Amino acid sequence: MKGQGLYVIKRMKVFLRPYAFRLLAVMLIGACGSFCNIMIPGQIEKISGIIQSQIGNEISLSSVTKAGAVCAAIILAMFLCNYSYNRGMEVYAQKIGGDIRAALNRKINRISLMNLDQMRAGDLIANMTSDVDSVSIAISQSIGPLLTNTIVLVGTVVVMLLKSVPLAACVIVSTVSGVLICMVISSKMIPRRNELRNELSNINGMVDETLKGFLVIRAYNSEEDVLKEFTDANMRYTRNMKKTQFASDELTPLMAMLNNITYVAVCIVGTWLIVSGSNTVTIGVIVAFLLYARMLSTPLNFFAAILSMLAFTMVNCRKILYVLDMPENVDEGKKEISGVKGAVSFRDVRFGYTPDKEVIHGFNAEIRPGMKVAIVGHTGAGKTTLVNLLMRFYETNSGRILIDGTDIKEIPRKRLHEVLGMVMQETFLFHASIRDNILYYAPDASEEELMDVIDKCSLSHFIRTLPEGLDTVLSEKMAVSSGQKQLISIARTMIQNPSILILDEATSSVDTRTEMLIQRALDELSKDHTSFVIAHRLSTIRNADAIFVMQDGDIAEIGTHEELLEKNGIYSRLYRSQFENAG
Amino acid sequence: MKLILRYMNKKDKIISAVIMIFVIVQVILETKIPVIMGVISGLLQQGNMTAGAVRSKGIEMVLYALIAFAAASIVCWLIIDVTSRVSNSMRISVFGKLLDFSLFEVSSFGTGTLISRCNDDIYSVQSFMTQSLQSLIKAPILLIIVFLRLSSTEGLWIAMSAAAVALMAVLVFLMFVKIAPLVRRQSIARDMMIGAAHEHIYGIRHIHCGNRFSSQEESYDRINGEVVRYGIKSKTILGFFSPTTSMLIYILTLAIYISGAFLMQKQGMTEQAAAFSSMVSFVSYITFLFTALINIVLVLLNVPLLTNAQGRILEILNQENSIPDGDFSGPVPEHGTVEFRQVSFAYPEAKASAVSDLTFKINAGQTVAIIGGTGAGKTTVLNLILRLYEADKGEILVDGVKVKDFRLKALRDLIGYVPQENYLFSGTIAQNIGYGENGRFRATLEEIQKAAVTGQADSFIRQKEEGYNAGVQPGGTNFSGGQRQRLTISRAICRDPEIYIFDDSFSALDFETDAKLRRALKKTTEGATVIIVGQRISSVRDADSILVMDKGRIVDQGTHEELLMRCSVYQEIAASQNPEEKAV
Repeated sequence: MKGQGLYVIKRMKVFLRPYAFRLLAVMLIGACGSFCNIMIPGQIEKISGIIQSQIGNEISLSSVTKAGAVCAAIILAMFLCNYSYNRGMEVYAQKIGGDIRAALNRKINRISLMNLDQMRAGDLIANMTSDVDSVSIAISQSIGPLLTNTIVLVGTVVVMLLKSVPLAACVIVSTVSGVLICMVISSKMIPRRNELRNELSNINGMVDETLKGFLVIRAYNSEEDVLKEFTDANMRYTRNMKKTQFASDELTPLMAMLNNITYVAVCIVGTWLIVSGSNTVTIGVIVAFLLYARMLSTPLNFFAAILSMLAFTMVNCRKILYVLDMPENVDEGKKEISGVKGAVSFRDVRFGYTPDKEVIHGFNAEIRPGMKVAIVGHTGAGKTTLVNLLMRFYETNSGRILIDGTDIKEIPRKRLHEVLGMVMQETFLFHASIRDNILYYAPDASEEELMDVIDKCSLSHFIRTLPEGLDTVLSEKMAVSSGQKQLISIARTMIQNPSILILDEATSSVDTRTEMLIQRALDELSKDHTSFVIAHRLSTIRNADAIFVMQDGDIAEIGTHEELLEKNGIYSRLYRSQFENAG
Repeated sequence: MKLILRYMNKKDKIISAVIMIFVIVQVILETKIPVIMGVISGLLQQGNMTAGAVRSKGIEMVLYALIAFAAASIVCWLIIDVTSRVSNSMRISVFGKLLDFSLFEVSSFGTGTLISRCNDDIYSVQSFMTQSLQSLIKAPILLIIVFLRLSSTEGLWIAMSAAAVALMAVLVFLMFVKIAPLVRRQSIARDMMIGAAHEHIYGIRHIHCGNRFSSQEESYDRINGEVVRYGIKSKTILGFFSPTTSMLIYILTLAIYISGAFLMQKQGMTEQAAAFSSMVSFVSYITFLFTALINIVLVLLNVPLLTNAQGRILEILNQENSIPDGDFSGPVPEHGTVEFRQVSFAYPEAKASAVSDLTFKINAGQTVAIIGGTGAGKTTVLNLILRLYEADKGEILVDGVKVKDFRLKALRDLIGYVPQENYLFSGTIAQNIGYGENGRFRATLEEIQKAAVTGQADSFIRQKEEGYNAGVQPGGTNFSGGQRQRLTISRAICRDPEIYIFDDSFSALDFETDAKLRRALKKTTEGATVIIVGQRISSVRDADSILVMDKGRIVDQGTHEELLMRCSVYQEIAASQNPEEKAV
């Protein structure tokens, strides 16, 4: 645990470093403010002493005002220092928070997709919001005040000891014992608070899921079930929260009582000292000590709270580091291949999501330039996985994939993704205009190219019906059908004009008439280009140059449509089943 | 505050009154302590203090401190009791309201903002209550009592203190005016950032494909910069507050001493001594005064956050449901029929109608298919039957009753719907198949298994180690597209409805599974009405009747053979899928 804690600090220090000098400067200014703060009660005591010593005579106003002016100057200095300190701490706390968010964002671009796919979006977003917020708060409220509070604590104690040892002992004993009690209580609360936080995030997760599955909940009348589950979770949370909250809220009256006891102790001991004829203690000293006692309570409360606060922040930091430490995509390739012909070879490719469960077992295939290859097979046969390997979204466990004889690992990712164009199974639109969505893979394409692609993808009619045409921003409010989404996805890849085309169930939601039109455009696009097509509709694959029939991560059959039908194997069974259902 | 009061019941209000009483006791006792200090200092000044008097005064003070603590503890517990109940019922009622929304409300708010409103904003209100309610009750009482006690002393000092309080009030007000719009803009910026992060994670493959890393990072940094900027602006305004307060306290103390010196200058010895001791206790009161003020202001500083959160929650609570519940819950005059009478509907913010002037009738036990191009309005028709959206014109009848008249629950009890996007809930496979309620029974494991067998899901479920108790991740992401589709189909079968609705539900299935499923379904759905939206001719050809849609209208209706003969749109569809079809 301790080593881990050190590691967290070491890693998070990186974010503090750019601001190290400025933070230090701000903290020094804060320290100046604290020094002023310690001096003020002494100054006030001095004034009170001047007045008291002259009781019975005419009071000399000039000495009072002179002392007052000095005191006022110190108060002003304290204000200026403390304000600049607060401001500075908040500025850097927010900036550091922003830097961490930006780092998380950059990291998401680099995390290997295998790992990213297994993460929940909600968790990543919580990293960027609540975890980062907690770090910002820790900087401005725990780390920043560390120095100033130490100064106030030590300074006050020293000043008190110089003035009167018995009174100082009074204050120190009662406040320190109070803080110890608080520390014990709040450190006991740490695990319960963590538990509570988990319960809350469970409740939040339920809201998340309810909205995502909203249609189903309404259509299946499960509103009452969902509400009941939610209510139960809430009741549990509330019950636990009450106890934890009481334990931590009760600290405030406890501290208030201890403050009062300190106050009483100072009054009583002070008076007793005066009555018994001490010459160091006067009423002025007692007044000053009352102020010191209050002053001391701030840093002591701070040190009492910081323990549990930092313990929470450590948890948040760990969550952030968990993401920042994830393995990244390897991009060591240097070969800038050009004039790609489109030969693709798979040589004994093996892959598994976990090392012990292989899903692609030694896949071998040679695809000549310009070939149209169809990949068919049952769901779960490994079709999409194969494409993910070719795109290098996933890395092979062993074996090689070559494009024009060059291992794809030797090609920079950027170049690889220029050469390979893919239409993915799951359509995705960005919250941006239709134009930007279509131009996503090729932002520099000309207006003519854009119009041409829109036309080929049968999107012109749809775009005309939109309120702002091509510049309409796509949002949840727009009812874009699944088919239309797929058309936009296809247009996106078409305009990229890649050397090798991959279509993963690209037209499954598009009606067959439109599909035929698009197919024609895609055929034109893939003329002289190598293309891979994954489809269930056998009509889209029958004219392929080669059909790979996959089963359990292996190629079970290879051949053209006619050859495979003749073979009377898996493919012919698949093909025939499409006409069987009527009977 | 409005929102919080709304969720207080009578008991809570009584408890609140009790809290008030205890707070008053606590405050009176706490402020009594400096009074005794004043007395002590007066006695000391006059040289009348004895050791015995010290002891008795000391005991008195300790006693007050302890009773004040007891009162404060009770207050603390009662407040937590009230606030936890209030935040609990608030969360549940907002969630309940959400469940009553129609799809229109959900999409017009946007899922992202609804999630952040339900979670983050309610949490803000809740933490406001637990952190601030206590000071909010205590501080004004403290303020009043301190002023009452002070009223017996020097008028000038009271005036000075009042001026300081007024000055602070002005400062706080100014701060408020400046900070409120910043808080609002910050929360908008944060919503945008969350949206961008969502998009980033779900669109990551496209970013890889398009090499758009730098533009993604640029746009994220821009939004992130906004969040930081508004954060800095609002926080630095807040940072102005505590130094100002402590400066005011010290300046006031100083002013009292100096003005005291002026007042006492020409007085005699006894008046001077009396004035001095009242000065000492006045100064210690000022600390109380400002503690109270600081507490109030610390609460007030959170008010812009609270109003912002509260406003966002109230928007949900006050949102009128565009689809009000009807009150008809049966018995229905006929079974398994669906009828459209000149129905038109346009999605909000769309220029053109999604469907227009639809008229057709589906009879009991029929299987009707809807086929047509992308954006022809097929899914819209299904949404209208389920009354997930409300028709703009015309009437829709299910089982001979207008869908508007139905209790929504009763209407949806009749229907087993398989949506195009096959969403599964976190839990187990069995829970997902037996999902929901149909007004008649809760599915037993046996029925769930039966449904899964028909839905062709049983075989892959049995391959799982935990079988029907195997876990499902939110959304069903641990299943392939085809498996998800089979599970959602099984879910509809398990409901045993009068009317089945399949929205392009077979697209992710390979032909072999598709054919098996269809054969099994045929037996199960015997007697039930089935509505199928499909792309493949093979999935619609054996329907009793096929509706051909194009651009939101029905262009033809008939059987496969009839349509092949006369409907050009249908012929094209058929030809596009299977050139051999003509030959068959």
